[in-house]
Amino acid sequence: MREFGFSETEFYLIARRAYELALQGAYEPAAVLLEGLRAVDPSDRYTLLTLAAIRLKQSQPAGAIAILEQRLRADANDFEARLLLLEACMNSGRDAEAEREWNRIEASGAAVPRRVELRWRAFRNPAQRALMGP
Amino acid sequence: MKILDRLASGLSGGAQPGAAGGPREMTFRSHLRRLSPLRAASWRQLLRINREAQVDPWIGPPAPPAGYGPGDAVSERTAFRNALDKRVAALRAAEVPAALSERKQAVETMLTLLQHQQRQQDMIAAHSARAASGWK
Repeated sequence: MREFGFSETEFYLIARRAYELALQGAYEPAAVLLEGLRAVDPSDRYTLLTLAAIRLKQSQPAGAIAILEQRLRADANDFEARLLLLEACMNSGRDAEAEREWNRIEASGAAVPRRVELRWRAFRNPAQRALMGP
Repeated sequence: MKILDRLASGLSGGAQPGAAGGPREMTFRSHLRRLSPLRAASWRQLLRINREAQVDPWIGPPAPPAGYGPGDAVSERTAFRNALDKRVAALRAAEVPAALSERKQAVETMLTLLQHQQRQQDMIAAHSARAASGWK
C-alpha cells in the first residue's frame, strides 16, 4: 500500500528518473530515489528488484539479498527475484545459499537465462571461479 | 562616409542601423525563437545525462501507469516540477505515526535530492538561456 499520498504518475516519474540515473552509472542517486519509493510502497516489485540490482552494482550483495528476501516473502514464485538472489549469493560467496537457490530455480522448470547458467557453472568450478569477477 | 557614420555611431554607443541581429536590437519574438531549442530541452539534456551507456540485464525501465502518455520535454519537466512541489508541501504538512517516521525520512531524502536536481537543472537552463540570447 502506498503512503504519503503519491499518485501512480508521480511514483512512475520518480522511478523513471531513478532508472535513467542508473543507466548513466549514477547508482547512488538512483538508489536514494528507489529507497524513497520503497518507503512509499514497500511492496512495489519494480522498486525492489531494481534497487537490489543497483546494490549489486555497488558491490553491496548483502543489501541486495535483504531486499530480495523481502520480495520473495511476498511472492515465493517470483522467478526473476530468485535469479537475482542467486547472483547476489554468488557475489557474496554464500555457496550453500547459492546452491539452494539454484536448486529451486531448476525445480521450477522455467528457462534460465544463458548468462546466469554460465555464471553458475563457473561458480561451481574452482578453476573458473578464481577468474570470475563479482 | 558610411564607414565614418558607423564608427561614430559605435563610439557613441548608439544603434547601428545595419547591424540587425545583435543582442540589443533583437525583438522579443526573435529572442523566443533563439531560445526555442533550449525550451524544448529535457531534464536529461540540461543535466547532460542523456548518454545511455550503462546496460545491466536487471535494470529496465518502469512500466508507465495506465493512461500515461509521454508529453514533450517541456510538459514533462513541468509535470515533474509540479509533482515535486506538491509532494514536498504535503510531506512537510503530514503528521505521520511513529511507525512511519523512518519511512518518512527516506521519502524526505528522496525529495531533497530531487529538489537539488531541480535547482541544478534550473540554474543550467538559466545560464544556457543567457548564453544563447547573448544577454550579459
